[in-house]
Amino acid sequence: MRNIKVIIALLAVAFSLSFANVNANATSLEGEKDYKDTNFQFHKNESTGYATYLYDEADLLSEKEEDSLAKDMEPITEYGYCAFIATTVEGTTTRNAASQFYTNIFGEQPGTLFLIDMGNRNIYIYSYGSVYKVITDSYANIITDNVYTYASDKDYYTCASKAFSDINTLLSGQNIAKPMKYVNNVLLALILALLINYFVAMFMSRGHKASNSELITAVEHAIQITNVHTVQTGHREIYDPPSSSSSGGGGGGGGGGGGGGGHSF
Amino acid sequence: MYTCENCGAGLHYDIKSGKLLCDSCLSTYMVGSIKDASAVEETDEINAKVFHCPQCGGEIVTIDEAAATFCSYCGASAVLESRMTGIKKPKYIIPFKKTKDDCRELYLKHVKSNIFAPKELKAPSYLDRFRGIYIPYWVYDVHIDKDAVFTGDETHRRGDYIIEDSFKMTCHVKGDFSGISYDASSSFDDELCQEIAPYPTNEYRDFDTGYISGFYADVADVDYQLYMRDAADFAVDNTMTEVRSKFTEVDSVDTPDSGFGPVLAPSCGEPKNALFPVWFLSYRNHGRVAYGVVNGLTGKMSTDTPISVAKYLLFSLLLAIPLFFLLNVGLVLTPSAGLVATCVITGIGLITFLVNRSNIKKQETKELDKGYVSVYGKPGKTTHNGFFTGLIFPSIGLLIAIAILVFTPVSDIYYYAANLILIVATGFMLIQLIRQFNILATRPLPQFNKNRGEVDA
Repeated sequence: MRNIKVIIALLAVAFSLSFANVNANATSLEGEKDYKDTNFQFHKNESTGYATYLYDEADLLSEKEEDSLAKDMEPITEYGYCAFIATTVEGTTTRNAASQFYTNIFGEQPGTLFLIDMGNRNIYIYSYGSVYKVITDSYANIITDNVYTYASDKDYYTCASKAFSDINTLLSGQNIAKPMKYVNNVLLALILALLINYFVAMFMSRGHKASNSELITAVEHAIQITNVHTVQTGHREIYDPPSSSSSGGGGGGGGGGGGGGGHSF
Repeated sequence: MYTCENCGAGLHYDIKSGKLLCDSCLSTYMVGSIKDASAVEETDEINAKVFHCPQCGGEIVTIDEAAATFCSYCGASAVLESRMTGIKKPKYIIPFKKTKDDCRELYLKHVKSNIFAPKELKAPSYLDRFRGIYIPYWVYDVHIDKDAVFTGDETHRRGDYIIEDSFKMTCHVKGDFSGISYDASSSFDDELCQEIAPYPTNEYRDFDTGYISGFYADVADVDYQLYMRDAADFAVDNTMTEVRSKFTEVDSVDTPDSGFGPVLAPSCGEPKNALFPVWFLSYRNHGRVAYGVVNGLTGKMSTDTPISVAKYLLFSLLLAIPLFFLLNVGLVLTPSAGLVATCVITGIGLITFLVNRSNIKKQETKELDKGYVSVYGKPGKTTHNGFFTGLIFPSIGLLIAIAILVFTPVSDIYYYAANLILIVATGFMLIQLIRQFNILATRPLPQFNKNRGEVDA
């Protein structure tokens, strides 16, 4: 019965691909036990209470690859929930889909979700809560940038496996390779330094003409204005009621929440 | 030339004591207390030696026996050709108050504060070339005495209505301005003159040849009528500031189409000539010249400071290191975002390049130097290369980058390749910007080829 609940929960997620109406209330998965079916696996880490969810609706992985990937995901349950979804998103962005999948499955529990969207041909990592504090948008971008080429080569298993490996590395407090970040930042720092120094040099070298107040102080002068008269010559009244529109208040700040990053493939 | 009554040696004006000093026996004399041995009696002229630079045609004069071994205007190191002539005595003079040592110190402090300045600018042998030159100025007096009529408006809101009131204002305006000065030498750039200004009227002294003993002087060759309008405008602008403060009922005084000049009808008579003190230094490099000019009274400075490309690159590299770490702390750019960032930087560079081109054109054609243009006319158009590397190459890079951003290919390789092309192009452009910078920070070698004929001051 409980396993059926899980399946129902994930099927609800699958149905939400159309995004006609996504159920905002997460289906409670507490107390569920391990379950495995075609294209779907659920494994619970009994010591932490977190679980892994693997749902390959797009049928990108073989059964063996699904088993292997589920094992690759397990270490992440030390820190939070972990999900893999491969599907075809239509009618919305990959980011929105990932966010809604996550909310539907995990609610406000900490965790991470790796989505392969065959509709938009994007991969996306969405994280929430304490996991999001580590797997930030920047890291999500770095990880997806590191693995997107496998998806381009249709090697979806390696793509997801390496992504979860990077996520686990970061969650365990280690570093991951960031070639994209370093290449970009080196070039950007160089070009910025050249430009900044150019403007610094320009600022240091510019001359200052004497101001009018300096000039007039140096000139002997006397000005007298006498017989001052002012006469009103015209009067005009223009009807112009003040605008009745009121300005809106500022938007509220976002609460902790989640986010992520992705890459096309 | 002044000679010591004690020992017969030459005298020169000593800035610190404000007296004529004998280098040999250290006797001092009040200026005006002894006569110039070579002075022509009963005339308003003084005998002077004119030094003519064979390279640029620049001329300076002195009443001393000294020879001039370099030209302050073009920096040429050569014994200048000399001849004797009579020059008209100016009405006023402001004696030097800043010594050569003060001037060197000020200049050195300024150059040292510029981390990109070439080391040659700090060399003692170079700083020794500071030369005290009296620059001729026209000193204008402007008078205004007029019943004037102005119009003005006042606008305020009352409930749902905006109320606009118009006014006619009348008053009697009387203004006297004395000592509005403009440099009368075509050799002395107007821009430098404006930067080291002002010379206060309370420092004027009646001219005495003793003050210029030991110094050089430039000659006046700019028609005094050239700046009459500027002097009148200066007086009108400052008078109008006072006039506006009297009409508190209005928000603003309407400016007539032809300005306030016709309303106030300023009168500007024939100016008096004066000599003002300037310490002058020139740095010649790669066919161009940079000036360092210090007001000999106040110490106010104007310097052309080119930058050393090697220092610029070195400091850019050093700055890039902390920038790199700073970017790493908080910024992870996707390849497309990185490309956009480079596009923005390239765009800023391109705009700067175009602005610099326009400024170079203004500088080379002496658009802002009325004195020079009035005597020699506008110089021919000077072309500076760098159009391809400064404009075309980065523009092509920018177009490629925009195309990549529009077509959004999947592979990052395209973004990195476009970014690399754009960064290389921007690097070339920045080198051109530095080249432009050094063109703007220096000046073409002057060519005062016109025969000046008789000198006026």
